[in-house]
Amino acid sequence: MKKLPLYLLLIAGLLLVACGGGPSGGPSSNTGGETTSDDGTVQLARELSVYNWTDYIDEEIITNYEAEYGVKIIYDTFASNEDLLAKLQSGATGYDVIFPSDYMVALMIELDLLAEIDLSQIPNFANIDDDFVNAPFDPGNKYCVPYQWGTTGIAYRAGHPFFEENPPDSWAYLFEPELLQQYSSGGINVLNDQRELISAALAYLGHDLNTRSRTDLEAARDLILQAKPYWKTFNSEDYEDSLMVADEVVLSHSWSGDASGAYYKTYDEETEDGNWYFAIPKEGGVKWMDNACITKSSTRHATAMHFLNYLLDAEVAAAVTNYTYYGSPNAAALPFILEEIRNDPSIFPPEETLNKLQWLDDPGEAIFIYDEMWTAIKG
Amino acid sequence: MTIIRTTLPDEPRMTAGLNPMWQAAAYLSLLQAGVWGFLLFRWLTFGAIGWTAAGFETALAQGGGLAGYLVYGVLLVVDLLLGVGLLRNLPLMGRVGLGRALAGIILGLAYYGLMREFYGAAAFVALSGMLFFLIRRNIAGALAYPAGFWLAIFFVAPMLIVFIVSLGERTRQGTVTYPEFSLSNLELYFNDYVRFFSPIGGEYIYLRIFWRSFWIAIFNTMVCLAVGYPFAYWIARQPQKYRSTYIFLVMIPFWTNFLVRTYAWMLILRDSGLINNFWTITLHQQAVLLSDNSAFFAWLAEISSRKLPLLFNQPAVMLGLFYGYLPFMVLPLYSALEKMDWSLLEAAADLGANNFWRTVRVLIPLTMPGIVAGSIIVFIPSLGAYVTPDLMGGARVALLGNLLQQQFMTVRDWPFGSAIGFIMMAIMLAATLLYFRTLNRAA
Repeated sequence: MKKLPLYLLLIAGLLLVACGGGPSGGPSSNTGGETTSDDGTVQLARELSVYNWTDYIDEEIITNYEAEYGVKIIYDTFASNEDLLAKLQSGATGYDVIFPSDYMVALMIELDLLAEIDLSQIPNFANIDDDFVNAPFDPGNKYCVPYQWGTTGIAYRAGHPFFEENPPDSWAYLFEPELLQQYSSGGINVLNDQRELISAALAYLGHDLNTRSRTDLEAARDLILQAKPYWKTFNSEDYEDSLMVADEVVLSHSWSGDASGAYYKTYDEETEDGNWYFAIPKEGGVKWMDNACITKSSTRHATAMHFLNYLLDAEVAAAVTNYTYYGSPNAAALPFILEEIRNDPSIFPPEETLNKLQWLDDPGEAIFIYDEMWTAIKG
Repeated sequence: MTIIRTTLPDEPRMTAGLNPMWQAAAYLSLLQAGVWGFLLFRWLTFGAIGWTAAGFETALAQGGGLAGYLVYGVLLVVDLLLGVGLLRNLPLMGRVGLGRALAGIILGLAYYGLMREFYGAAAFVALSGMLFFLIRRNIAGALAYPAGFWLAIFFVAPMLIVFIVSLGERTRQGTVTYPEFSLSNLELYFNDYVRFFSPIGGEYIYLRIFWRSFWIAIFNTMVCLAVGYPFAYWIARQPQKYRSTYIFLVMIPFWTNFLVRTYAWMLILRDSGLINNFWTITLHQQAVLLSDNSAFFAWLAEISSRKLPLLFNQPAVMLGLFYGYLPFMVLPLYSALEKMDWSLLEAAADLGANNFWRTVRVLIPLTMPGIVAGSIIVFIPSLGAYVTPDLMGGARVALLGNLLQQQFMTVRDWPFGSAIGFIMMAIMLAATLLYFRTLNRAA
């Protein structure tokens, strides 16, 4: 009983300290650890959470940034645009910088998942090639800055007797049974990606890649179902290493950088050649661009913009391309990109090939038809 | 007559002290007071020490700088007083404690409603609820409460959410909307359930996927049973000292992640894998050398010149499922067989039953509970298998698990995905009910 007043005194004292003379403690709710100093400059947050595609940055860039600016980067990866969206839509917060592709940027803007960026805070934005500025999915670059771009085509095994005589130059090599019979025993992979696979079929049939017509899409579905028995796998995640480099397939529907990656991983000093070639089919196909954006829920907006600016630095952007073998939209980075990559037509295709390629856009209400076709294809 | 007084052992005195329930309540209060004290300290020193803000702290900060001092300070005082008061058996402490517990529950719920911060609210409500049962000295309640709370938060609530989502409708952007409520259009809510059983473009795609998953699951269960039963029987007939070693060996694969084991199978089965390398290189070369002498080796050389299609097809999926779920069949079978009274088999033999009838009429009926339990444990996860068809089947053919993943991730049709989930649950519930009925009949 006697001790009780002592407790009370202690508590009263604590409360006094807390309410009266103490510093105004507690985390601030809106800056998430970024503090603004008296002269108005924002101190960088201690941490930044980055959510990127699998194997899509040279890890050294991250450690360099951490060392240089004292910001710890929490790095996490996703496998497809849809995964990224599903994660954000299910209410995941805490991601600051994300890397959606073109059509997904448009959808995310519509869903109000992205924060507007202030280009005046990103001086390196001037490095971006004019061709990649002001893209249709993000007019005026209000939300995102370009990160990497590439194409989708066909990768095939060099030295395969059939391809020696008939180098694949058309989507027919992915869809025509007469052709498929010649090499399907060696294995064929297609991208496990709704929009990419359907677009390839649409391109072969001569339809618009962004078609919203049910008959076009049904024709694409039928073409795919007719070719499906000849395909061995649907893989868009680790196909470069586990299927192409490992020689489990002889032909793969592929993104340009993965094909180039397989080429350089199998590069033989003696023959001065790699095992995998890449072709953009003559019917045309998809070109895409991944973008660095800041989530609406980010509490470290200034730090995130600082990081975007760092990514657009000429040498950093070149280091990304030298690692991923995807094209860089960064004009200033070109001199720093390895010469064999810069001169590789499958990474930086010539103008006339580029003109045949198309961006994917958000299909609007037709997404229901796409989904239906995809279920039929996989079911 | 002298009375011999035997000294009785000290009677257990009714301690004037505290009821153990209240004692526990006191310590719980003091523990919470400690937590509030720590949080208050963090709040005080936030700028100076540079703590990383937890979710509930960020949420609290939205209420202004003073909020933390008030919330943590008041809770600290109340819990400290309650704890000390209970320990010293002060009057009125029962009422104070009850008030604190109920206020804690209400505050926690209100906090979640306002701030949508789950973990802080869940922890607060959980501890306050425990305090409630301790103060009420409700032993049964206090014992059942942790499990009950766990089930409510992590089973009932998510189920309810999934069910509500399954009533909705997917929009173009992948968000969920609900039909306007009216008694005349109640069927709109169940669109997604109807869709599962309806033809899409002239084909029953979903039923086809369901049927495929169903028979693969049944087939897998049968194979596991056929292989697992003799195996478990053999272990159960081993000398006592070896049995636990064998069972231990059955469980060893669980030490490695299922994904890693699946990839290991892929390395064995793929075109450039262990088996195909042996087949097309080692065996082929030997066969070629001997092919001049014998027609058999000529034939062997011919067929071994082509790789065996071992991976990325339906048999590969079956193999993966069989490999993954066999231990789940062996373990319950073993526990049933181990309890078997073998003299019953001898008695059956004495009465003239041969091996076949002894097995069918005595052994199998007596181990039926193990058979049914094993079958259910294998059947249910086989029906929802996702990783195996995706990796070992090359993602070419969808099973229910893949359909579900596709609805939630690729297509973002959460209502339909939730409906599929509920349909699967109904099927599994039916399987489990069957299990209990069979058990009852066996008993």
